[in-house]
Amino acid sequence: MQSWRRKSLWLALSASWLLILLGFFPLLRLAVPSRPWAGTPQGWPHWLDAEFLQSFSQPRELLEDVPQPPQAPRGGSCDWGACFDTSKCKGGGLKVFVYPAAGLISETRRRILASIEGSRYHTSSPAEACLLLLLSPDTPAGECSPVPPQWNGGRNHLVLSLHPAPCPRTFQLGQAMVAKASPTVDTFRHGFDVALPLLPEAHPLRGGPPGQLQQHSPQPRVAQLALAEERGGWHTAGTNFSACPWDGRCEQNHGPKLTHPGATLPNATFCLIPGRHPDALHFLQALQAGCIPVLLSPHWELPFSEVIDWTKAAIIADERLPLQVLAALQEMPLTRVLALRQQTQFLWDAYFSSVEKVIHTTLEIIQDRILGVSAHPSLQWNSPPGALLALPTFSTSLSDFPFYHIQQGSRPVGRFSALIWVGAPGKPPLKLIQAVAGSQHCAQILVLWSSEKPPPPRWPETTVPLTVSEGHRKVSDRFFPYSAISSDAILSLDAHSSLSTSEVDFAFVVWQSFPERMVGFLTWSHFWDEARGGWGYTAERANEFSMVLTSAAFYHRYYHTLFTHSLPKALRTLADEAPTCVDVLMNFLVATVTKLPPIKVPYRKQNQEARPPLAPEGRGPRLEPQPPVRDCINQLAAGFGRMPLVSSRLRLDPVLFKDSVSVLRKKYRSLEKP
Amino acid sequence: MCASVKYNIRGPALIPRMKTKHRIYYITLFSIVLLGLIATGVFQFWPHSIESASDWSVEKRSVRDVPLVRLPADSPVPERGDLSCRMHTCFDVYRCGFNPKNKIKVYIYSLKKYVDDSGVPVSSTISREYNELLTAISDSDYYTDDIGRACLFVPSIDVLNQNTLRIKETAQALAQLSRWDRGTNHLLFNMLPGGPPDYNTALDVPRDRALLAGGGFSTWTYRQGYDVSIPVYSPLSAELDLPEKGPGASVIVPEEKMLDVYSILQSIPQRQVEEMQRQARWFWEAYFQSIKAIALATLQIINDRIYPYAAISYEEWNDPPTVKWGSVSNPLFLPLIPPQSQGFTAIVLTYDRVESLFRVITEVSKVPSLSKLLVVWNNQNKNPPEDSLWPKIRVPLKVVRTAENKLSNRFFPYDEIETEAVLAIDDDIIMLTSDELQFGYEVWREFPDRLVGYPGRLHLWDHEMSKWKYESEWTNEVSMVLTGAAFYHKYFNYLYTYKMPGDIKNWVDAHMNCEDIAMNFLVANVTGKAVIKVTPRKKFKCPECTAIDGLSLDQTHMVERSECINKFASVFGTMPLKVVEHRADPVLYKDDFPEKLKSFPNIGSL
Repeated sequence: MQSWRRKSLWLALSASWLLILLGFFPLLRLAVPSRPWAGTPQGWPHWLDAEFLQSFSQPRELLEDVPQPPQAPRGGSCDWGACFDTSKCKGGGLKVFVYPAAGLISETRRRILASIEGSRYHTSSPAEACLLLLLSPDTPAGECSPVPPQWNGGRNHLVLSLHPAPCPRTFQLGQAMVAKASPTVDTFRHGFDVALPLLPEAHPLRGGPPGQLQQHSPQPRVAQLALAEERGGWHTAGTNFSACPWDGRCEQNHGPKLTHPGATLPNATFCLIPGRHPDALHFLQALQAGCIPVLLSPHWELPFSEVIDWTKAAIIADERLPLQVLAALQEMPLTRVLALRQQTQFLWDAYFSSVEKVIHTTLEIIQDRILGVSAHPSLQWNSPPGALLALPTFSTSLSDFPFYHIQQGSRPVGRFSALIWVGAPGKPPLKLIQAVAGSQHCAQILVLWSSEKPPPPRWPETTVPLTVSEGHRKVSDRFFPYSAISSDAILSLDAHSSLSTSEVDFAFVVWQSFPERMVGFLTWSHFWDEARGGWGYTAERANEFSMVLTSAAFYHRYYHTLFTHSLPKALRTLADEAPTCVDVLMNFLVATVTKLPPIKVPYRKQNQEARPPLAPEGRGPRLEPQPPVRDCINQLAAGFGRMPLVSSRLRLDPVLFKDSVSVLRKKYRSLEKP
Repeated sequence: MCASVKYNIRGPALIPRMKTKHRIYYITLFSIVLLGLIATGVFQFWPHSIESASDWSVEKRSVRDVPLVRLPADSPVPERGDLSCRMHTCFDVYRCGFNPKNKIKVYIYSLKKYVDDSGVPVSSTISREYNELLTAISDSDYYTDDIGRACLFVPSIDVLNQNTLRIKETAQALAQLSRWDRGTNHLLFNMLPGGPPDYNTALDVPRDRALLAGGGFSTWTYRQGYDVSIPVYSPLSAELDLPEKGPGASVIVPEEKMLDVYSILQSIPQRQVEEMQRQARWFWEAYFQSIKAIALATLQIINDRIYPYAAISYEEWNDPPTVKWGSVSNPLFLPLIPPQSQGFTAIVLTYDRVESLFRVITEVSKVPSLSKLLVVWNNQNKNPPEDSLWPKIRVPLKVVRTAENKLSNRFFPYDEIETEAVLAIDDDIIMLTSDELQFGYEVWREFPDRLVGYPGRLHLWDHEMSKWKYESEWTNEVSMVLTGAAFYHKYFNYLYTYKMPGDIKNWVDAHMNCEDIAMNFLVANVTGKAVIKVTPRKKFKCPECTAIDGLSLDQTHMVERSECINKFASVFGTMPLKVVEHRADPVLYKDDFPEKLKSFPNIGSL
């Protein structure tokens, strides 16, 4: 009995609880309106007369008493449209005149001036120039320049100061654009001034060191976080950085700490860089090291922010939210970390690793403003090989370049143009023409007749159009961007080259998979010669190679444009004076763009490959010093500022090449004939 | 009710042994409970209709009925726009700390009608567009009705068109907002700035620190990284500007060049025009076709500034879906050749073929660049052999035991993998020479973003059956390599385990087949590149070759593999595999050259 009562009591109790839980709240809601509607309504109301509201662009009537809007403060503020006269830049893009240095100048400054003078932008006549460039003095010894002669209120002038000016300027900047390191965001005029990186004192003039990243993904056990220190070094926190190591805002245990003295590069995944001005130097270090910069409320404009999409390479965070930032870094997906790291390396190498690149990028930005619609698309600035190596004058369509096919989902145009260079002996290469014309992929044959002898009046009948053009004396002419070349692929040939149709077909199919590289038959390799303390190269057959000869090679026609319009004149002259050098030069150029080795395909006449007039010096015990003209590779390495060539240890063969299977199954069977 | 009555009647039968007094007590109790529950149920549904009905009467009000606010002539006016404002100086991010999902919270002030001392309205109360815009914000995830939790405040004072308002009085109205505080964290929208005669390019209403989202800013009033550039809205959608994130789809013509516009536009090549048109149209459709989209795009931009690490990438803003289709962004896009010193980790998947496994371990350990060997023990019923029985090799050997016998265990991104290069190798691949494996690693270094493998396979389109077919014959082409012996970047293990599209991963584990085809699809899809087959064809011990009872098993196998290709192609929505006609050999392979001078002489021997 007792138990019954207890049970029912329990039941009643729980039932009433259930009732309270389920019933009370809705009842309460009903009884007491949660918000008096006279106060803040929930959400924006749905107006009964919404349909009858006036459109903002069709006002009923102008309301009375419209006061005069206050005048905009125009003084001292310039923008591109108002302060730059583009009419001077008609035709041929950007022409830059550089004020010559007056008096004593530093060696660095002299070399910078020389570099601009040798560049594709330079003109020696101020009247012809559309941009006049004034280099700010960089050393206390340099004299503070007076007002330049063509100043004209600073119109169409660019004042370039790589380092903070040691002496005050004696004249007003007026309408001149200012390119300086890490300008403060408050005075920077977007779209008019150019933000430069803050360069260290001893930044290399050309080439510069490559990025430090040797692999795509972060190495295991590497510190996750490095923090820029005021003294100029870095200190790294361990992989677990639950404490926030900045500002002393939260002084907890920092994990294992390592202090790197001096300007050593940080070895970490993320680099925290405070927003103060002097820390801009850390930014470039992080970039070179492949350490993802995490900028804490930078007070300076990021370098080349007009064109570089920094969201792809750096993280700009609010210094006031330390815990959120650190949590976000810890949780960042691997995919994003990979992408950011790689982008730091690309940007470093494309725009920042040398003074020359920084200056050229500045000029290229101004040229883009002038070009307007045909300027570099953002993708060209922000993906390899970068805007300096992708000339906007070549094409405005990305799929015309060799670099963007995968991103664009496009393919190179399906055929090739053969370009045959006929040198001194002046014999028409009839056999070669037949072999090349026999390829199903051949679109046309162009013969560049550069012999003293006149070309024969009759040429063999071919299935593809054959054009002969005369009067090419210089070796560099063979890399001129002839308008007659309609296909993406060029097969560059010498008159004495000997190829079979099969070889041509296979090499072209391989090239279609690697349109940004050179695909060739004969190879050379470079090596560091300890004895001479310089580079050497050899045609000897070896287990690796780094160059393919342009006497028989496929490459993209874009490289003709790049060769002719981007190489400094001095280097092309070098090639003209020493014809052997032209092959090395072309390989240097392509390797600078791709950072990868060329590709070798099988060649039957491997043993008769030597080209007597062009054979380079071998590895033999040659003790006498090289004559300067023949020391091509070292001059080129100096001209490029680094050794761009990369070695490869492989050859691409047809899938069934020399396999023990019936020859009838093989597509390129003639490649295997002895 | 009915049901409960019936229940009451049946009650006694259910509890026959109870005394009447207790029975009545008990039944009453039950009735009360049931009644309560029913009443609750009714309330759960009924009050809702009451609420929405009352809602209707509350929310659907007339604009004419909004409260009137009289602005004294001497009420304060905000400062002019502070031109030095940046997010880190003028924006109070601490107010945004509440939001767990990296999403800012936006509050909208209630609508008021502002009049001056003499009762003349300051502006038309609200325009149709601004009402639409505020409705869009209110309906979005950003909205909060709790002013205390808000990080961004949107006044209901309509300044979309400057010509419909009185500047000084509107500014006074702004200044008296309850949380104005110099305009900190306030957002104003303006599409039509000053009119004749000045045609200023930004709103002339003094706004102090308030963010301005507007169109057609001149460079000097636009506070880079603070104000938000949005299109000049026109009912005809004739004019189109772009948000700050979108270079690429517009042509910016300086004002004084208006006469040259025709020639500028003519100078754009046709192909580029088409590309720009497509991108612009996409922009318009995705973001700016309606005022609603403008509001949300603006909030997204501000949100990205406050939580930059959660920001959507530039590509997501800019890539029209049509461009994305067929194009890829390679996750390993930086051209580099990793140093040889790094070496590679060999991963051997094994079940119980211990003898064969030991032979593989011994062979692989001879490869100079091997840095670690990982055995994935996929047999849960049997322990791996004792430590002392394993072959003694010069590199660390680790055994990982798995929880389930799944093929995907082969591609798990184990912490033990410390090198970028991974060699996946079956426990029966004993025919590869040390030279061949070392050369494979060298080839991988030159193509670190590809699958580099030994036996190659091909997919073909079967015209008769109208579907894909798997091919393992001696063909002149390859599009896949078997992962029974292949080098690849360890990142692809991460992708296989966590980013494999659709149900492919489970499908493979369930069918115990085609994990290699899935990997080939994955890598080709994400890089847009073909595989590299290395070295000549060998007689491999592989599923296709160990047909026990001759043709039939072989054929079933081929049918299954073909099915995999068709299944994966439909899941990926495309056929990502790329067909090539080349393979990689050492530079001097089969050349007439002294063998002892070749780096990799022992290649292709059986």
